[in-house]
Amino acid sequence: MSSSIQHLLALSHLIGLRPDTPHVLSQIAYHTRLAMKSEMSTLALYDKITNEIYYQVHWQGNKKSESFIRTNPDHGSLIWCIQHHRLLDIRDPSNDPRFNPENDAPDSKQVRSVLAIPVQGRLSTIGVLRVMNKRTAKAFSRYDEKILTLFAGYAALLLDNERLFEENISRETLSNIGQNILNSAHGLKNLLNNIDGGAYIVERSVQNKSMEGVHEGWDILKRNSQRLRDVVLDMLLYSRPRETDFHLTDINHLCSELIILMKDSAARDHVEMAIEADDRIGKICLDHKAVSRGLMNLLGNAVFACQSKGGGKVLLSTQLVDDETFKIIVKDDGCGIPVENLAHIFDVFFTTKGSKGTGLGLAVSKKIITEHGGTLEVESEVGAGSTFTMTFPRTGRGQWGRPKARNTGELAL
Amino acid sequence: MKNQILIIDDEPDAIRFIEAILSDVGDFDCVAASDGDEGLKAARKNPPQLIILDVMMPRKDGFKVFYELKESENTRDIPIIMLTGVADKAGIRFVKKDMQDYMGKEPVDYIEKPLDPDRLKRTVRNIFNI
Repeated sequence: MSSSIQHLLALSHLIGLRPDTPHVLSQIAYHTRLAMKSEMSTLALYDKITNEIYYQVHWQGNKKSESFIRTNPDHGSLIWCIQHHRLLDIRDPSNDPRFNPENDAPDSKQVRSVLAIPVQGRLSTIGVLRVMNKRTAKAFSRYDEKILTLFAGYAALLLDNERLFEENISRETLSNIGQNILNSAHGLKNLLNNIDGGAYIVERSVQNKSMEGVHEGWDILKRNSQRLRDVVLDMLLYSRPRETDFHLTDINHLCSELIILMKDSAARDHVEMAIEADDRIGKICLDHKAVSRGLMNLLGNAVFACQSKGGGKVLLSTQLVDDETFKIIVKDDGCGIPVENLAHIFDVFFTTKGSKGTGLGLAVSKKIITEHGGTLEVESEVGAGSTFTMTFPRTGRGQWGRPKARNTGELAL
Repeated sequence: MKNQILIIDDEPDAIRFIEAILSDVGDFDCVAASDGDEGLKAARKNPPQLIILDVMMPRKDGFKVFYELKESENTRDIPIIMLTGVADKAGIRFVKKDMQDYMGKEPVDYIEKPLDPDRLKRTVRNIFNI
């Protein structure tokens, strides 16, 4: 096998690998030098917008140098090549205006011959590939031109491939977000539909002078705008950078408030709610609003799980573990979570509640708990119920006591 | 005898909306089911003259219900209007084509949520020639 084909083959092996642009650049220049039997090789990258060479990797013998320069070389072989979009063959550098000793020969080593060609990508000129000083002859031959053209073509292929790969990764992330928005749009559309329905019923009842109908429509309106409000708040809580607001809070008091708030409506669905508080916990520094939102989501799920079984019991308990940690546990004897869903329950927009779910509740709860330096774990058995255990640090540890100034959204999954 | 319409939707408020719209079209006997299985049971026991079927429901979704209705001789010829909150127009075309290919059947209409009451009224009037 001829040496140039061997080096092309080495380059082609780079195509299937994980993208690693610096490595690819260096390998292109390396193999080009060897294939061309030249003393030096350079691969330079070009920025069309600023008309600058912004990076180059240079091999001189087996010595590699890299430079992240942003220069606008007015003259020199590299920029000439880009501006003229064609191959450059210099046989007498000292008398050739296209050769610039300052830009072209970094260590003033005597240059006898130069061969350079633009690396033309699919959309634009990516850079220049250049070799200097043929080892076995005074100048580069017609055959050398063809080989260098081939290597420049390969370089373009590899670098385009790198770019596409990287763009694709970010596009995939984007399409995930798109899918998620679509899923939540379904929940939102259902709520809007119900609100439209409420308004429709109110309107026709006014026309028919049916007070009963007005009341019915009005209740639908109120109920669904409340639900819409909850969803939108959860979305904001989840996606927006949020200022945390830490205060000393009596966690047991917060828990019993929540139970009082939710108890009556749960009872209508035959779900009993109870609390077991550990008085030793004392006051904890936390974001009161966020934690009650997170807990409310967990309790709401627990009630829903019992409801779908026809009724049951939800127990909220607090527990001092040691001086440094405490737990909040939400336990229900509802329908339980199938194994295949367990891995996804904390994913944003994952829901099994059909139009009643938005897929935000647990994701929000988890985010809030993590912001407090805590963890959220779940154990569940289908038919027997689920237990969600939050473990929080009690004193200044981890993020504790010094909450992050800004909690960025996690929509970029 | 009144025409019977079966509404299958997991949202009670959405069912009320549909009932209100239908009562503005004519005097129907509306029956409601809150999930796919309940709907199938009702349709088999007492086949209605029209089924209004929501797509996105927990457990058994509207497409599964549609196929099961079309598979059984008892319920095959009942016209079905499907409701969805999720699909765009291209998606709806795709789904309709899929149903056509698979069963040689497709819903009489495929209406997006939030519901346009006039569109539902028009479709129902066409089905019952009123």
